[in-house]
Amino acid sequence: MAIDPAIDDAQITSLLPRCQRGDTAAVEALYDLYADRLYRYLLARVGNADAAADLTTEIFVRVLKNIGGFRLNSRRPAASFSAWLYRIAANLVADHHRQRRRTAETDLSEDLRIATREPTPHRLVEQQEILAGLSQAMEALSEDQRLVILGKFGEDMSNAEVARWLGKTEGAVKSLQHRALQALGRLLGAEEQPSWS
Amino acid sequence: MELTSILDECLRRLAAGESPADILASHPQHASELAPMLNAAAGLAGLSRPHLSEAQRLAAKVTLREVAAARAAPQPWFIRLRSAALPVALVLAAVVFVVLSVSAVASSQPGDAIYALRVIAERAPVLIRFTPAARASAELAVADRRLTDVSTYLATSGEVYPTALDALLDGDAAAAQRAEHLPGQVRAEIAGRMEAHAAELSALAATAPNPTAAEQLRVAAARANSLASQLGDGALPPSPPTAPGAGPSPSNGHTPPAATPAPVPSATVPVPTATPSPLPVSPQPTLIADPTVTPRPHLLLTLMAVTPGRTRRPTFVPPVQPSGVPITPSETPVGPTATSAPTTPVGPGSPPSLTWTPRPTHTARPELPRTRTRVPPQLPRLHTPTPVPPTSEPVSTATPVSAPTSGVAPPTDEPQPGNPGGPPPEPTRRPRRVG
Repeated sequence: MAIDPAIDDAQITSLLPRCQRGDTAAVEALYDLYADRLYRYLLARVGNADAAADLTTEIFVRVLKNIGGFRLNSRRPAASFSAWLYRIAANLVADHHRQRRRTAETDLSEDLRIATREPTPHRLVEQQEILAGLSQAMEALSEDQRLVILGKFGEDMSNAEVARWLGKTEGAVKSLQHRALQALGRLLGAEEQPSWS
Repeated sequence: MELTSILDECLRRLAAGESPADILASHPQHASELAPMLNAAAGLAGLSRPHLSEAQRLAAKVTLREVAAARAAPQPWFIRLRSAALPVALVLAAVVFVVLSVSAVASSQPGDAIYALRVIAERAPVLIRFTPAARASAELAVADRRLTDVSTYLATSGEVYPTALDALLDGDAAAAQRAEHLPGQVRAEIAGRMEAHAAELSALAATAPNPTAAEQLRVAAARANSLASQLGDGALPPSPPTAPGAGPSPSNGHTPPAATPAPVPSATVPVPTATPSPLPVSPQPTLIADPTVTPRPHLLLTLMAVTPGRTRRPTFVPPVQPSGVPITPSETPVGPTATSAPTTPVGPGSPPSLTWTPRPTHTARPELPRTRTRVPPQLPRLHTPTPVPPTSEPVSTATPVSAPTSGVAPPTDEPQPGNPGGPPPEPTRRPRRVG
């Protein structure tokens, strides 16, 4: 089950027209619905909490500026709006990476806030290393694979929920998950013996 | 079971808290493939689910409200006007620019910088004519305008504007080229318009204050006349057989003799020289001419190479007895002045039949092409002297045909020897036509 409440079509169809009329309260309601999801997506991709928070705000600024021209898919309102948001997020991440290459930014994981089930110092360091590698490995995935991983492991969504979110079939979601985990296992050093084996 | 489904089942068991070792033990055949994937999934599942802090959320909402307020504020009138009117203004500016440019080009006069553009632009109607006759007419219409420009510029500056004059002649040449394969009547009409151009140019030359301008105009008039002659000659219908002794009247042609230069052979038609005839050649002086006479070069002037100031009237016109042989359809200009009246002394009592010589050329011509062969200007195509049996007097070996005919005489025109009203004595040499 997702940790954030699921977003249904009725919410989007009621909020979006108000946003398009300039209703600030509706914009803030949309922000509350999507901010954490987008933040996790951005954090997984940029590896910096402050940058991810700034980019999350920037997503909604762009939404405000361009929502007048957005046309909702009446058959899948929530999925189409969500896809639009993540498309904006992906563009912002690309811009962020270009800018980072110019400024030679190197810190990737210092701002990652790691919460573990067993918050021992040893475990914390281990998780930080995993996250640092994960942030880089996520960039090697396709956008669909990233979203599936994010939905399954970041939002605790079921296959059906991810399928509805992305507008795909469950079979496609399973296949994307398989290929994504294969790539991540290879990139994260799967040759190392897992601690539990 | 497919590996994708096995992985999905393993991930469910992992999320349920089952140990990875137990999971892999239940799928030993896929353990090597599943192990790295489960390792990555365990790493992802062990991560916390980060979320924005309340401070970050509040800061973001403040930013959003500022952006929304800025967007809701009314823009200054000039910004709104600019955004709305800019495309309209650009379109209007483009339209005004085009209109002004076109009008400037259309009203340009010789001497203006954009007059050359007008010359080019005014030929556009030619491109949308799809028949040779219409195109030729359009070319002449454009040439009419250039003639007007030449006249206007001459009147104002006393000089010839070369662009206009060249365009005029180019238009005439293009019209002649397009009319080349048109019916005779149409060609004659077009030739008449070109002769009108030549006449007007001659008139301008006569009144030009500047000798250089007069010379240029004369050259241009000669060239236009040549083009007209060339075209008009082809437009002439086949001449009917003339009665013996009845010379062609200058009024037979479509151009007045005064305005039409002597026809200049423009197509080279190889005429087989006659072999010495077995028939006795009468020493009648009818066609006797000085054998040393050779065609003068100016007889061979081509249309495109007219020497300024030179009269193009042929100076060598061999005496000719009007032929009874029908003139075959001609491809070369035949001007009224081409066929000279017999001016050489012809014995009043000498019947032409006495000097007639069979013409083997009539049977030797079927293979002659009826195409016009352009010869570079001033390239002399001289007569080929043919040995003539010795006579008591020098006999001219030049064909006394002043008007260059097409030379393709059907065999049916073969005159019969002994015909009292037959053709005049056939010379043994005929001038070749040059193009």
